[in-house]
Amino acid sequence: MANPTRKVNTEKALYLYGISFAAKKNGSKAPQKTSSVGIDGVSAVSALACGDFLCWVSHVDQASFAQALERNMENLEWLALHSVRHQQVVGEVAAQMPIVPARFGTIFSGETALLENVAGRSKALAKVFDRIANADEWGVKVFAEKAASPAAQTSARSGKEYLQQKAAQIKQRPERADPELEKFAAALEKVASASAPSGKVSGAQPSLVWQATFLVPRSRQKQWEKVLSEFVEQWNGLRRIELNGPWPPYSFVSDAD
Amino acid sequence: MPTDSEPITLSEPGEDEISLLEILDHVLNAGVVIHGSLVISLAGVDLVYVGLNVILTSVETALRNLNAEEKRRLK
Repeated sequence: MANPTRKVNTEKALYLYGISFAAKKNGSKAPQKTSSVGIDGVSAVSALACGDFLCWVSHVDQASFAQALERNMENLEWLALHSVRHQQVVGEVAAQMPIVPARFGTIFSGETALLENVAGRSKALAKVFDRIANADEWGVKVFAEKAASPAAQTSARSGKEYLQQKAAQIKQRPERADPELEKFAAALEKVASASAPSGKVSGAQPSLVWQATFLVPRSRQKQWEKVLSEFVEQWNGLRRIELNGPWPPYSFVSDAD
Repeated sequence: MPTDSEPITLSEPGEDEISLLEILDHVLNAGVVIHGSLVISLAGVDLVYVGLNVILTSVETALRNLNAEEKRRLK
């Protein structure tokens, strides 16, 4: 009966969403689970106590999830659905308490491995918490307001030609050489506590001329909105500003690794 | 004149339309290595965005159904 091989095979791996502090500053008890379902669409998400920290985890199957992760990451449809599930969990926790989001696809072989890893990073984690507590991540995008030229939409005679035209359109972007965009970026950076480049995925959006991600302290939310409003007004008809957020601080925690 | 009580008027894209794209931008921004074969580039065009536009609707629909199911379960 006591077959060690069997034991290893049936051990469930743990998917990590992020890490919070175990107790809120006011001493109230932290919640222990989320209403959002886990990354696999089945398992429940729970908070695992790790010393001073709470690790938000759910079980995932070794064979069908953990080992298939690398291959699945190349499947856009899979990636989209699972990224949304990841965000649902991290976002739900972030609405209640600070959380250092884990990288998408962080899996531990079991509880022991996770506890050891977190214990080894507790100093770095504490530092990151200081930075991200009471701050939100915001994405800012600037689009050119000119209508797309009709020629670009219709004159392609082949798929390759269409793509070449599209590439030419994208290359027309003023890659931040525009002094107006530099002024805008500087004004936002002054209010934000940190900034990061963004848009790995949406970089090819039509008419997009500039984008970045910012960490904004909640105490400066009003100033942040004021800067945005000013530029919305100034740029009326020339450039369109899109703001998205608040996000958990995904782009500002890499030093917790 | 905008007042304090009014939300600032930035452009409002259709929420469903962009949310998936934004989620991917932010969730995957944290140092995730997007695999070579995912970031396919043809004639200098990054096809991730193009591909996402195609699958966007199906994923959004799947999620809406999923959320509706959950709500039913919780009742």
